[in-house]
Amino acid sequence: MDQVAEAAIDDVMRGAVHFGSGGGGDPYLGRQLLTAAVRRHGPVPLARPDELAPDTLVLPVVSGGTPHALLEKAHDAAEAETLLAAVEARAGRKCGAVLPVQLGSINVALPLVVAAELGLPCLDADLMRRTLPSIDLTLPRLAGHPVPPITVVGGAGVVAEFSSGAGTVLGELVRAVMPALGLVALISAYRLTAGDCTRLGVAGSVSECGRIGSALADVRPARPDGHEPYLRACGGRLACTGTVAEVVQHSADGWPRGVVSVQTPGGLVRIDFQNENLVLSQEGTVLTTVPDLIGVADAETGDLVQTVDLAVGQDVHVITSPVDDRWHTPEGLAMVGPHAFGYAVDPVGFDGASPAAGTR
Amino acid sequence: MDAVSARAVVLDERNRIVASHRGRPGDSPARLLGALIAGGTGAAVIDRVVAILPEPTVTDVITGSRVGVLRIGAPAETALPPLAAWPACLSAALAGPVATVGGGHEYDGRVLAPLDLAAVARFARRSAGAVGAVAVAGIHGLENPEHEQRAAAVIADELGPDTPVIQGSATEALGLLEREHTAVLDAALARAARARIDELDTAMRAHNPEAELYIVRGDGTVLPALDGPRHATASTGAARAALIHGAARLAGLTSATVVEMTADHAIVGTTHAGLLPESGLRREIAGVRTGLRAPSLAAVARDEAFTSRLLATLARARHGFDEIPVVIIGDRADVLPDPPRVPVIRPSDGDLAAAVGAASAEAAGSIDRIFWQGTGGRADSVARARRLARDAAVRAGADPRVLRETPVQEALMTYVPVPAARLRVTAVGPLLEPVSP
Repeated sequence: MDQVAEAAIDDVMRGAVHFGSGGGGDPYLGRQLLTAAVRRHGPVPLARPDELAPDTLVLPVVSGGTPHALLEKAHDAAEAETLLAAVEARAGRKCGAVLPVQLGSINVALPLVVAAELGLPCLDADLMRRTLPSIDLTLPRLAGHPVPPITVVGGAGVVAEFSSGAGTVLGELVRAVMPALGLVALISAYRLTAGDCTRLGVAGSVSECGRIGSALADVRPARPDGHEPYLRACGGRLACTGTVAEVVQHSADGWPRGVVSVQTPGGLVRIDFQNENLVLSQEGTVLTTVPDLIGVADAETGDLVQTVDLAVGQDVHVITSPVDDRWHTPEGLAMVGPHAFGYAVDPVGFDGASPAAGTR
Repeated sequence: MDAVSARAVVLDERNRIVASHRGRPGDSPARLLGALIAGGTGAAVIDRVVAILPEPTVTDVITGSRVGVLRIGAPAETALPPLAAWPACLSAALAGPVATVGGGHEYDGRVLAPLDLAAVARFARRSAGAVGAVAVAGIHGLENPEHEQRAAAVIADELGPDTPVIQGSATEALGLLEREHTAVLDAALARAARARIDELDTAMRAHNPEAELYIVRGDGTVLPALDGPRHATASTGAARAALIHGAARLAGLTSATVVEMTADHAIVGTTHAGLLPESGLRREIAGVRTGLRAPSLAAVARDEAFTSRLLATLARARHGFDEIPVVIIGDRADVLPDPPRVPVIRPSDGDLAAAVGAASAEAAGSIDRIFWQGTGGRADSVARARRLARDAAVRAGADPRVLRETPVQEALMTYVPVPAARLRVTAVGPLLEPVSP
């Protein structure tokens, strides 16, 4: 894939939902934003990191804030310029491409929109290989790369910069400025070049969304094997099929936590989620955990559904699929394994096997 | 009265059918009412008329009024201008002047940017003579509709009382785009809806000047006719929703799973205590997502795998409501054997189900928005959501003394350190009876 034209948008956005693992926001807004940008500026050129000069400075872009607030206030056209100017001023040089930080419907659409508005290519790459809830949970940081400088651009030209410090502290600080910015902001972090991205081996993300999204469009939910195209494309498996019995949310420890119960022929299946689906279990047996992907598809339409939008009585398929292997290393699991999210269970891969057992 | 299938019934105060009229497809609602009254014994004085109007089609939207679209939200909401990603043929057909002006509110109701009244006035002047209706939508307009109201007043001053100005905040839906889209479609359809409702109103008043007129909405509850012209899209899905309620009512039930069998498909839906469970999906009209919620109804095509798929759909519709009976209606009801292991009722007069559902419909109010728990905490927000839902139900015509409520559904805000939650709740109740003379 060398560009995102209007005809490719549906596939890219559908595939981005796959990497949201039940979170990342409803794809409608992202699709609308991207369609409007492509109609105004033309197709967005994609570039592989190794196609650019290695010292090309790139502009990582992520939408900060909460999907619910974004539904009301979906970024202003000047934010991209403001962000670019602030990052270039700090670095003392020009950026040559935009870089998605994570995959998920809004955060695939937004870097493409920003690239269109700035007249830059978008790197066919990202830093998480899925959606994770904090800007410090990336492969560059896993590889020892510092998160700062972080630049936060709110509406009406507000710019906040965090120049140095530990990633987790900065993550909290970024969240702390969000209420004053109306819960929506455009954020950049990590000083990275195209050469860094090549070395990290994070290429192909947007193309991957397009490829998986196209397979999702081929799903024929009425047929018993109707999900095969999607399962083949993402390398995943159908973990179970059932009916949503309950969706509850609570925030006892300050983090929104939730549980979906699905009645299946094999008993009650439970999905623990925060923003994304994190732990899938059945009658006390853990089937799959973060960092692998746990998606829920509507059985009637075949569409992947945001976990918070599930309705009691809805028939669903639970689909698990693999994520970048580096998240399964001991260091990766320490950052994004179930323990890191406060669940006292050991990591289990998408196929039900323990990653520690050497099956991967 | 079901103006879609040309059926009209008169119910007495105990919801028994005392008169009915089976008209021909294409009969106007006013003609149906006239025929019912002319032929209806027992229909001496009709004090309330509830009509299912045909739902708007793509053609209705395209041939409707040209619409001026004003978004209040610059500079915050400019990356996606109004209608920018709509199907091009649709926006070309209906869009008049489109503008985004300074203003709007934050999630907690404080002002995001001052309302640019000069820009609103400029938009109003551009719209004068160029549009038949105007749609106005502002950021966080549900939390604080003040800027929308002020802008609407400026536009109404410029364009005069005959040009409908539809506000996004009149649709209870999270999402600026969803509310804006609903307002634009409602604006395009407002004149046609008004003409249709006025005609019906005139016919009704010739019979009884004191009678009240209501329009059925897509969830089977009602909208007062006075509000009807401003909510034309609310009729979407009304016939099917009323059919589910009415079939249950014909069977003497308030909760039931209903199957309507026709030559080419079966419609399956459940009414529980007078409400249709939500599907969690937003309705699309003419390829545009609206803020209207779609109830959970399924259509099963009558192909070779029909029986097994129908039974699966039935099981899904009854999930969690294991005790309730199945009501079977429709012109092919007799070809469907009784589903196994459930009580089955096949009421007579099944073809009148939608009209009965309309005539016996209740009024509801729903709330779905973000509540900032800045001061009073969760209990305050929940109380406020419930109060807003009850107020909306009463405005829709419900008797405040006998309202019921659904449990408050809560979805917490993620990624941000703000105690806020999306709360959803519906209040519903029978229509307030007119005062007897």
